[in-house]
Amino acid sequence: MGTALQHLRLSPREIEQWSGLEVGDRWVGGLLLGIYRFSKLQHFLDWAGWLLFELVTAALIFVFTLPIGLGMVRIVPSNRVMLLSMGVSTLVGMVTLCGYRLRKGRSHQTLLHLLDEIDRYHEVLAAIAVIDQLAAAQGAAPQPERYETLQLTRDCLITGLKTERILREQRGFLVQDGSTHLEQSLALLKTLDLQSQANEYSEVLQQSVAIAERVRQELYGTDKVSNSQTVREDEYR
Amino acid sequence: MGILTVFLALLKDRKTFLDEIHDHVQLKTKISALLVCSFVCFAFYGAIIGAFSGFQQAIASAIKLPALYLLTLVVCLPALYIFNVLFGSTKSIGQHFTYVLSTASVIALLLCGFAPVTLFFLITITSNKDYSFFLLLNVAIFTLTGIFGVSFLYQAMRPDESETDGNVKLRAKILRLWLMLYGFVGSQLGWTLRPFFGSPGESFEVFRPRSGNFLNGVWNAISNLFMSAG
Repeated sequence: MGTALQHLRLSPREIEQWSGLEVGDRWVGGLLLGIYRFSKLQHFLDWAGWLLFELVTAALIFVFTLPIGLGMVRIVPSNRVMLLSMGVSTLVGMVTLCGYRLRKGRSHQTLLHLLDEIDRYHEVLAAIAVIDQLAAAQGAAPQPERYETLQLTRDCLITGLKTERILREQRGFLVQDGSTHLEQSLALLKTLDLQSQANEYSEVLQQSVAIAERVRQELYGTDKVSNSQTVREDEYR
Repeated sequence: MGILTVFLALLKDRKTFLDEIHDHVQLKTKISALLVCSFVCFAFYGAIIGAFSGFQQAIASAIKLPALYLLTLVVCLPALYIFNVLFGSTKSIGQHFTYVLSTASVIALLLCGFAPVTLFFLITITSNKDYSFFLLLNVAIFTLTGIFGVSFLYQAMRPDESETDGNVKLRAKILRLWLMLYGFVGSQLGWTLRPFFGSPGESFEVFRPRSGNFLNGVWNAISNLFMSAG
């Protein structure tokens, strides 16, 4: 792949920086406590790999339940009880972990979709690299407009990642207390608007009074005007 | 970054790997990958040493050996973290955990490296007579790999001399003391979780009744070896 195309790629570090989550080929947000990208599981071997990983995770949880088993042995001195308590604890651990992943997966649907789009974009880059190589072999000149389009796509994907992150991180604000916050903010804005309208109205009034006084001055002379102006200003105040 | 990529990065480019831990780069991924890989390696070696006494013991040891190393880490980690933070370390608990997990992974890899040797002796020796020899061979292998792992951790976590913090020397002392604690807890947990090899001529048991300690066990094995030689 040429240097220009390399620059157009979105590296894992960049995706991590913009999404705020660790992203791998098959998962998001860490291996054990993250979300598996099921859209990447297309072949039988992929599913077998996932199943193996889940089995290893269960075995790992089983290992960490050993203190529970040792504690049970002290109460009921039986290996069967110990193994049973460890098995039940592992089951509870796995169910909790799966529930956590499922919940997390639901809240990260947009990000998962965006990551699929990024993968497709990278596939397009790889295809263009091959086309460029073939064109170079035939002596054809490169097409710079193609890179501009790719740059636009890249910018869109980055904007998408940033927007998704903002929406995800501010979900607490928008969902939980959002309505209360918004009502308060709206009331405050209305108050400010009313104050602003009142100020404008008072300015218009002042200007109207000033114009009226100037007309009166023209019609009746300075003395009367000065007296009348004093009276008007007092009224206004 | 996949599981194997992380493990290979630890093997091939240790300096970059440690620098990344220092800079908080993909810590969750590293922790998960190191946990899974070290677990698999320990389970593999555990199955080999347990195979000395049969299939059931192989399964039991494949669970007990990872438990020995990983639980020792979990038991000892809070002491290291709290003391380090108390004396000026700015590293997070995630970083501490990644460092000690890297150590466990190095030990697991070294054990896997010794696996063919252990397997060779497992096949060539006769079970009943050479039990003590097989036991001591593995104690030697565990000691050697443990020393390498501990020295790796010391190199990785040793406070930098260039740090301006006044507690650098104190933290280095804490690390040395912690390594001793780690060895002590590990040996006692190993004694609690025995048998790993099983005893020739005896029926399978998940755990033995609690008696004595690790040093007593090693002493008995040495005595048996010399008595059978005599």
